[in-house]
Amino acid sequence: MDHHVAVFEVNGQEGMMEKQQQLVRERGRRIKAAAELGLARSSRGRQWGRALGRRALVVDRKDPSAYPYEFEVTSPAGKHQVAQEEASSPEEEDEVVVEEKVALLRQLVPGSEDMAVEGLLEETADYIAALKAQVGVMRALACLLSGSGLDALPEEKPQ
Amino acid sequence: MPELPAAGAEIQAALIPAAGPAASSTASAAGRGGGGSFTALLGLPTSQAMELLLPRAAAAAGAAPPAPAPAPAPAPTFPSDPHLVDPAARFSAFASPSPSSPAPPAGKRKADTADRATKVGHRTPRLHFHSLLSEPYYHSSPELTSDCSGGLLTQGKSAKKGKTAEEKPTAGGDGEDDKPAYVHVRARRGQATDSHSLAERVSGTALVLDEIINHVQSLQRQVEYLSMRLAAVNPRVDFGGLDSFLTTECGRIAGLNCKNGIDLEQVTWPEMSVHGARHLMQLQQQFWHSDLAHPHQAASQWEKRGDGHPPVFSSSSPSLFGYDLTSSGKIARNPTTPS
Repeated sequence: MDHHVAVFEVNGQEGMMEKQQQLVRERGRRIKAAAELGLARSSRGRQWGRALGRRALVVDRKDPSAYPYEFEVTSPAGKHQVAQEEASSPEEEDEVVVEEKVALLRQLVPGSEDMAVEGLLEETADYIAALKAQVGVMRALACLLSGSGLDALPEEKPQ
Repeated sequence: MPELPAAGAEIQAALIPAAGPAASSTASAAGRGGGGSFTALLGLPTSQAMELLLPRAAAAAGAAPPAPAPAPAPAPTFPSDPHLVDPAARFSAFASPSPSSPAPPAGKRKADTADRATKVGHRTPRLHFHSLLSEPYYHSSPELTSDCSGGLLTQGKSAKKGKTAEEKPTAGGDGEDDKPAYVHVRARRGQATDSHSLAERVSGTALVLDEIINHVQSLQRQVEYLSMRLAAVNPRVDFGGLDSFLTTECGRIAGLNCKNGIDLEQVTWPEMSVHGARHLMQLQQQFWHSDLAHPHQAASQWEKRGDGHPPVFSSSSPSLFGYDLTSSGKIARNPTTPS
């Protein structure tokens, strides 16, 4: 009888571990969505804030497992190749390189697709400031909630 | 040249971490020019770069540069790819030593190079070491002899548009031993053609944008990581010290939602003490989601969760949450609360 019980418990524990991990992931996604919403709310009506709010709602409803940051970063790789080949002959590679980076930045900063470059940079500055604040809040929260006083403000790399 | 090996080591040290994460992104641009050492040199003041380039080129050029670089050529090839350069790493390595030691021997080096390239002298006053986010990381470097390798025409961001016209004649005049208006470093021997030099030109704008992009990405990644960490941390939370926290961090954020007419006092904070932080997060998420999506339906969401009706809590304390943690236990036990 003990054997049966033990086996059952082991299997149950494994299943529970997976479920727990799934729960944690799901919870993490929700937390991240909430953080994005908080970020959007604190944006004081800027373009990126509005777009972030809209996007967060859509993502959360349609596809909870979507990770908006990931596929944004990978897509400019293809564009880079094409643009480079096109521009190598006119020898304007500088501008092409800059344009590619601007395109990448557009994808990173929400809601900036249709903006001019000047506006984009301004939005980016605001977005960076807000992200920094967001990270600070989450770090403080993690430190507080962890209870053990984990380092909430790890050393940032010098920039 | 005592400074040379030290500087060379600095470059290597700076490049190895820089080229690591950036190596994957250099694939497309690697064909334009290869090695990783030159981009580090470009961050140096001119004098320092000069003294590094000249003796190094004459000596064992293959020693330092190819270490981190994906360059196929055995000779040190200097890349034009801004991705290879991690400004943060570079500046951390070069920020301190730049003004000190290279200064004295710079005079000597300049004299040497002046013999080879006539226009070095009047070029140097233009070159300064700018801060991280200002324009030229890259500036004109002294022309190397044909022994050297590397090739980069540099230009400040402001003159980006004009430089095409400006540099073409000078680049076109680049024989291996020519002395063009710009002093520059070559990528390879015998490849100083127009298109090649121009192909390796790097704009300060691209570097700045690169830095910006990296910053945004790193912040976004931190948010992601912290959200996962919070998710993992939540179940074990102890709400002992949460009182002040709520009135500061959470309260401020939640307070922003009051604009939409949602009365926080109606929120069933009592549940927290019973069910833990998980509830807190869920409450917040629902709160925010409903706030943005359907400001008018927020109240119904609270009720759906079986929280009890607002009037029950409207008489509680006048604080922002309309709720006193110490007395929550009494209230929470009454309504039917889902786990």
